[in-house]
Amino acid sequence: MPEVKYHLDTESRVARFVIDTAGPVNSIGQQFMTDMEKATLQAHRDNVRGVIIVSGKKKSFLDGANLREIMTDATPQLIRITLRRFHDCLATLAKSPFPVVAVLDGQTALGGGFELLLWGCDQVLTTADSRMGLPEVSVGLFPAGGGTQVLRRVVGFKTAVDMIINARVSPAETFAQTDLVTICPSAELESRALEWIESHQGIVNHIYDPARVEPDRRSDEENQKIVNQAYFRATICPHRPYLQAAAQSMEAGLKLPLEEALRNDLDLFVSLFESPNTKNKIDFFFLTTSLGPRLVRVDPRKAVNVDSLAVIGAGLMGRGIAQVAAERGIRALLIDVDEAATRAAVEEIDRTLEGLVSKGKWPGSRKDKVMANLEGSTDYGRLREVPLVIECVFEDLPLKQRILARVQDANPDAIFASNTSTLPMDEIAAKSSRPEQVVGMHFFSPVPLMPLLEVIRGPRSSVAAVATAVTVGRAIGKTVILVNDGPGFYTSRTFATYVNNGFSLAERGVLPWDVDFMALQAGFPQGPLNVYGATGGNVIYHAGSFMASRFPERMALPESLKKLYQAGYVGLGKPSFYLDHRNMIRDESVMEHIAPIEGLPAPNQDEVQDILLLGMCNEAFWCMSDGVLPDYYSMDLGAVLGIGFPDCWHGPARYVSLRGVKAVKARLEELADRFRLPGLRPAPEFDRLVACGLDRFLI
Amino acid sequence: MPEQCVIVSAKRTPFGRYLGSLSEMEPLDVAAHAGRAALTAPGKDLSAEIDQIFVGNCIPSCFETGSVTGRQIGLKLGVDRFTITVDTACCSPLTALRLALWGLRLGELSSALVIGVEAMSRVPHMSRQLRNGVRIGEVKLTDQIYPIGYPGYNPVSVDASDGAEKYEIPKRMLDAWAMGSHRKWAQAQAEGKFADELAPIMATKKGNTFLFAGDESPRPDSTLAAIEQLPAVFGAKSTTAGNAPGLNDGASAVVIMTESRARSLGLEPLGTIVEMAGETDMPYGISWIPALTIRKVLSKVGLELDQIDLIEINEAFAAMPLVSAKILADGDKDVWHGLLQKTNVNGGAIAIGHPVGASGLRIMMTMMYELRRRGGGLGVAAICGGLTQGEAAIVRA
Repeated sequence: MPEVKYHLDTESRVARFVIDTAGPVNSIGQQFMTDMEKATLQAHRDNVRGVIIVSGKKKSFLDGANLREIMTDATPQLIRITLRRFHDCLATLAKSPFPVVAVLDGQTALGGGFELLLWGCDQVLTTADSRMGLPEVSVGLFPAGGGTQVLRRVVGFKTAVDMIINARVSPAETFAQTDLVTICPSAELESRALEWIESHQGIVNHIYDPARVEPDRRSDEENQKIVNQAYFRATICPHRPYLQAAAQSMEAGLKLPLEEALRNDLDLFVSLFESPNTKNKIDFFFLTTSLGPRLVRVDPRKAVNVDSLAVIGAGLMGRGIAQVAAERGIRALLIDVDEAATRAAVEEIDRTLEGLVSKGKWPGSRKDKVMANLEGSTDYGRLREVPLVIECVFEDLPLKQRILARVQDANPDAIFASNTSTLPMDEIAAKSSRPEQVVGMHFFSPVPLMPLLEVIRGPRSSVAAVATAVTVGRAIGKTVILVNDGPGFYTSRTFATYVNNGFSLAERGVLPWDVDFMALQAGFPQGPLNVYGATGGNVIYHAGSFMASRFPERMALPESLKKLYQAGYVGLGKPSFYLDHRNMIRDESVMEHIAPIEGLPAPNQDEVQDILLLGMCNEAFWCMSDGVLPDYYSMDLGAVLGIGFPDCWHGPARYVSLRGVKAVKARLEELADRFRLPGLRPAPEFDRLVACGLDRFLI
Repeated sequence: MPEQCVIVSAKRTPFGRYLGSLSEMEPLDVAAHAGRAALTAPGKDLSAEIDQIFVGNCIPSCFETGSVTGRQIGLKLGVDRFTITVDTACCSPLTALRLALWGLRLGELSSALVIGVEAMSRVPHMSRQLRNGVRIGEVKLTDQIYPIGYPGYNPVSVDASDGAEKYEIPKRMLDAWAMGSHRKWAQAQAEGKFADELAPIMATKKGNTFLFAGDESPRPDSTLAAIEQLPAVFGAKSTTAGNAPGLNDGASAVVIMTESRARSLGLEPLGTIVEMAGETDMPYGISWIPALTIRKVLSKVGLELDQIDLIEINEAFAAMPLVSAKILADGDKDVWHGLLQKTNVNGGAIAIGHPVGASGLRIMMTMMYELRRRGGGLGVAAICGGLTQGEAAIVRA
């Protein structure tokens, strides 16, 4: 069965290429290219008036390279030949004498699929809701199928750099201003395509048209500035060679003719396959897309059918949960203390979504669906209507217990999910007569954007409660990990270590903004002190204090964190260390609250990064030892998707695996001693692994 | 004081995976290959020097005629000496070695060839109905290796997992031990360590004849995370395909002699069998019987565990080395971890494979060769067998 089927309409003499590759989404492998070459050749032989390229799959037009095929027995030579072949494939199509039109109907064109549109096609007719982008850097690669060179020629250099470096996938509307993409209603796609072909006989492909002016042209100086900014972003952490390659490729493309720039791309691309970070990213992609959805095994027949739910507490988290549920067609009842608060919450969601619609990021219909499924209320009696109640009130045990009692008074059969970030389920359920109904659903903020849901199984949680939490989590689009009960479960506990270690480093003589800068260099998305500032201080202080009370030997709250809080140094952005284009913004106001610890050596950059990275790894391994974490896949998924563990390392288990269990254990002991950091004492899990003779190959 | 008994030769075939390279080979030929390799390894043919042959095997139905298997092998080897074929399940080849040791100590023999052989790929399905003729209705065909168990008792996989639970060994540690087994094997393989014991064999499968030169089961490129995902089998709590060995084919052989006989033939002993012992416990105790057997054999000669440099505990399941070492450590975590670090240092049956009637001699020789590489020392090798019998051997090299 060819992956590109060729049909010639003898009357119009317009050929159709129907892309339909093996697998659930269309992807580019050797077979695809063979069939695309054949179809193109046939179109030449048939002397067609034009080609229309469509997909045989409902949601996927063409979504990039077949990574599994690439990773199987990949040699540098084979990768080079394959990529070169793809270039030739697109160039041949582009240089064909007949017009080539792609038609997308609410489908995705990603990576190589988007490159086919940008380079091989003369025109793209699509509905507004198709999505396109070159997200290769998110799998540890860069758009080497011509993407770095041709996107610029369609959208301009600045936009192209932004899209590629940030792996942006955008709705088709975003490209409506370009001369390549035309938005039209689904019903008209076919006739418009035929019209376009008839009216553009003899068209020269935009990539090869010498008369064509690249949009948004800027001076060399300005372009260089854009490149430099991209480099800064790409190289701040040296372990993301794919970002660096993307920037290099785009910079080279400014100076080189297309053919030479493409040859340069071949070299850059092949070299990436030697990098462990590229392998980490590709593996993590498979972990999230292929293993992730199957990782937690629950019996869906045990899950309660949830067609509606209630969220108690209409803060940022509560609103986020209500919004994602409503978007997936689950009616969401948003409950808060009074009418004003609930009304304000619903209005806030409305306003936020309206912003997305007006910026063109969301179609209006998507917002309408959310708002139609949303309702505010103050009436706990309404809980009788819902099978699932998600509690998002302030992190206070007696308060949560009272809410649980009120919920169970109103509807004892409802499953009660707590969105606590630290409190154990068994303590929340301690006073309940039906503790088996209580389960944890720990979301991450901002809920609509963060992909992870940590479901917590209390010792008394029923099979049905757990199955329901997991099933609903998946239904609203989250990657679910299932962990056992304990203070801070897995993610909050491990994240608290990161923040604590950041403050401990500042107390040991590293300037606070340097701590955060070195964290960014290590690959973290946000420095630990900025975490305190960005979350407003209160949350970190309360969570940290709670964790300290449960793990006094290892998780004592750093004195400085206490001082900051007690001095009223709380509120959004205190301290505020963030990266502008070149530098770390220093917020020196924090210095008076840092309590220095004398008599210890000042940690150097390697030590700072190891304390932050290995500190998190160690806590993750403690969670393994304590039976909180069920397996290493959950460890890596949770750490990267939930708490910002550097994605270029795949997660704590892979990072330890790459450095070696014995070496990591020795390093932790060394750092714990040298800097008096008892939290770095290696978890018992390291000893077990050493005893089992396992130093690497954890994941 | 009876004379010292020494090992003058020890060889084995590479172990094939289930339905793998050895699966179409006649197990008698595979056993004879291992025997011939052992007889010729010292650089001269010892066929004429053998006083008696002892053969251990666990599942006799893998042979065309599972009777006097030893005699059938002996004739293939051209050694017309009395043979004893013995079955103590997985203990068989070490029991065969112990019988030979008795003979040597009694002075009835001064040399013996000991062979262990198994061909799990060749075990036929069995029916007891056909003999009388079949009437209308179904014919029941039982599979003797799925699961491995005994009428009236749990499958051994269940006993192993119950043992792990009893001794509070979590599944993730069983899995870590399993992946460790593959990695230790990979390391040893990379260092060429198995060259000492392996006797590559010309194998035929699906009409192709080829040199089968290395163990076929190890999966060193897997990961602990992948092993963790495998589901439990046969109703066990923690036993999975990942923390158990496969069903394998292969044979092992050693030649033992009294020290004086070896000297008279000009043979350099590879190691000395210091002592052997067999032991039993309640029938579900297979995961801890290696510990009891090791204790027994050590006490017979007044040795303490801390005088032992290397330990082999057959990985019938990951539970066996972990449970047994924990018992030997009296539950002390640090002692336990210390013992584990000198247990199965080149990987175990989970990686290499467990042809049940051949593994006993394999663990002994793997340990002996490793002791020699380390400049000598004392080692103890122990294996569990069906319905909880154990065999153990102390070897000095």
